[in-house]
Amino acid sequence: MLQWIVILFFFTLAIGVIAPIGGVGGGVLFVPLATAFFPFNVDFIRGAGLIMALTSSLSSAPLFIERGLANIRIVIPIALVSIVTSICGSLVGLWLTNNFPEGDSYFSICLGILLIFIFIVMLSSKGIEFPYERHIDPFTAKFGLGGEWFEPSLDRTVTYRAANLPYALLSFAAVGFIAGMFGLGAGWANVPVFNLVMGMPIRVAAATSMVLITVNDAAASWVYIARGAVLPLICVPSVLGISIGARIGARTAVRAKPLIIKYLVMAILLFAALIDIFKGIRGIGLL
Amino acid sequence: MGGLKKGDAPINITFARTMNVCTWAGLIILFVFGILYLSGINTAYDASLIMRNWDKPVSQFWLSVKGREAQRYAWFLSHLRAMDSLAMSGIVLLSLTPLIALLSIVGRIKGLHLILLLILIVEFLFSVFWPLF
Repeated sequence: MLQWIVILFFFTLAIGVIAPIGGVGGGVLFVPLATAFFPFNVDFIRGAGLIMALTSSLSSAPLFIERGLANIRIVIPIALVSIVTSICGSLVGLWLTNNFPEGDSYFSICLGILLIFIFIVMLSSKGIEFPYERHIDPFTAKFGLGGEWFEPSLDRTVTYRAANLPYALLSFAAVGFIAGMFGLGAGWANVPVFNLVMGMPIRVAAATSMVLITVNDAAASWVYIARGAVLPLICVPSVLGISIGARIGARTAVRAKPLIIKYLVMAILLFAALIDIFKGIRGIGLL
Repeated sequence: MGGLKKGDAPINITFARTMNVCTWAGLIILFVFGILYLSGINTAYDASLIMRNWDKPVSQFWLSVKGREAQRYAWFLSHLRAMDSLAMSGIVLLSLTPLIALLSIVGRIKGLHLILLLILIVEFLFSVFWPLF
């Protein structure tokens, strides 16, 4: 037993160190790599992935909110939709792996395809630090979505308004489903939607994404807890490892070269995608 | 800036502080009892039996470990003196933290956002309690 606890601890510690510097959450590395290389069933990996993503976002979200970078008023209407789809995603994910003889293998293939999509998103999306002010449609205007924070680099308070809520809600519905189904935080998808669709500054988008992850993943985690897919034997060393790793990562981030780490993370994602697809195809007997 | 709500700061601070306190409490419970559990002290489920079966889908896993599928929360709530179940209570608190933080701002928010907040809380409560029905 000790061997697996130690391996899990150091594995998640390493993820905790490199993931934040590379601009992704821990879950997006943990779930595919653990699916590819660890003996656990994907049900337990997704359960642990959700708890890890939840813990990481809970640890950083309060600070972002207090600094004014995230506004709960913006999260509420979005979470109304994404919480429902994240629960649906969890139910579908567990149904798939528990009701089909080769459900694990189909899941593995889907995960690999999703990772290739994430790789492309990371490769192509360039965050806009301060997007141009967009036209606020009547629907979005009713919600009065906006905020302000003091930006030290500009030495002034920056105000912003969010736009395009209808399109964003559709996007976040899909993101919530993926988060619940695959046990991910899905910050890689939240941030571009907040930034590029809703026109929120990149720092605000990243901070608001953290708050949204807490709500989505907490709701989805209840599905996994109720079905017994959250095992303390896997979760305790994983959460401990990623929590310590994230603190080391935050300290080393000052000296690290983020672009190199980002490319390293992307290479790991692509590698994990290929392994997961190969494992899935072999599992359904096509190889 | 017609959409801006200048009075959002107190709401956000209440939400953030509640979230912070609950997160720390959840993490402390998880780590203290989790480490005791990993040390092998008073466990509800045999770790070697878990390891022999953790490659199975969750329904088959619990059939092998407990003799029946895990339904609702009895698989850990019925062993609350065991360290693994106590570690689970830390995870439960972490999973309840956003709900508790949302409840903490109910009295501070008004109008359309209050209605949306209440619907969100109902949705969250549904996610917690649906397995019981």
